[in-house]
Amino acid sequence: MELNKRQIKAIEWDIMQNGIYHSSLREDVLDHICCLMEQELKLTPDFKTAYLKVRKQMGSLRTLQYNTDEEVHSHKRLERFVKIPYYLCILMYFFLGTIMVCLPIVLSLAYMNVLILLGGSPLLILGYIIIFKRIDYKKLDIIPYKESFSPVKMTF
Amino acid sequence: MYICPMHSNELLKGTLKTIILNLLSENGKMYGYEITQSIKELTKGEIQITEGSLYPALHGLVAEGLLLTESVSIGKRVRKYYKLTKEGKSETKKKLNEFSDFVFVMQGLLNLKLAK
Repeated sequence: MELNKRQIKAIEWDIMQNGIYHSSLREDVLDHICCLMEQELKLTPDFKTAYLKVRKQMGSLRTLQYNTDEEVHSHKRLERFVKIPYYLCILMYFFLGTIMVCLPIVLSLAYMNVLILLGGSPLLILGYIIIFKRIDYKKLDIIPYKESFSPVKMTF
Repeated sequence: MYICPMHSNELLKGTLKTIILNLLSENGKMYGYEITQSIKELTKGEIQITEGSLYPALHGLVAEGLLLTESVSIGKRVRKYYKLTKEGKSETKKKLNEFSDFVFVMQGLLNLKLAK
């Protein structure tokens, strides 16, 4: 038995209320519950009873969200070690650039700032690509509750 | 949490990602519920993977760059399919070899005879 739009919205609202705030994980959990519900409704035609049964067998959604965060961020920790030196490089780059432009000594090294710019830019772009583009984990998008959904009253 | 009537959960820890990667390499793309059902069927109900362990593992694999997702609209909801990346395919082979070696070593260590 296929669920209707209203029932799906009600499930979505409930799983959000129970702590699934990542939109990516929410899509997974919503589809999973809907699949379980479609099976359960064959045995228990009443939506509310079926939903309570399914939710009971699923366990804590907050724990699921917590475990997912832990799993995802354990891979992000390594990135932090790369990001910090990268940010330091950017700071040094601009610091050196400023010195070269501002100090009178620049007069004797007239094109040094241009050389720094030419030499540094490809490195910065390369660093950006490696660090920020390699892991395309758009699923980390945390959508604030009020923006993503208007709560649907749970009516079964 | 795994539910496995015959086997200790401790034995299964650390193998979930290998199981998922292998399933995806055999089936191309799968969604979460399909993965749990597939494992249940393949093991004749001996191992049942719960959502609480499946989705953290799947999201972890995505974060590692081993899996890609593809969202498909199924009627009134979205279904997310997972599939292996190029890196994921080579990692699957690596993990399977690693696991095979582990089983071989444990067999020798514990002096086990394979049943059936």
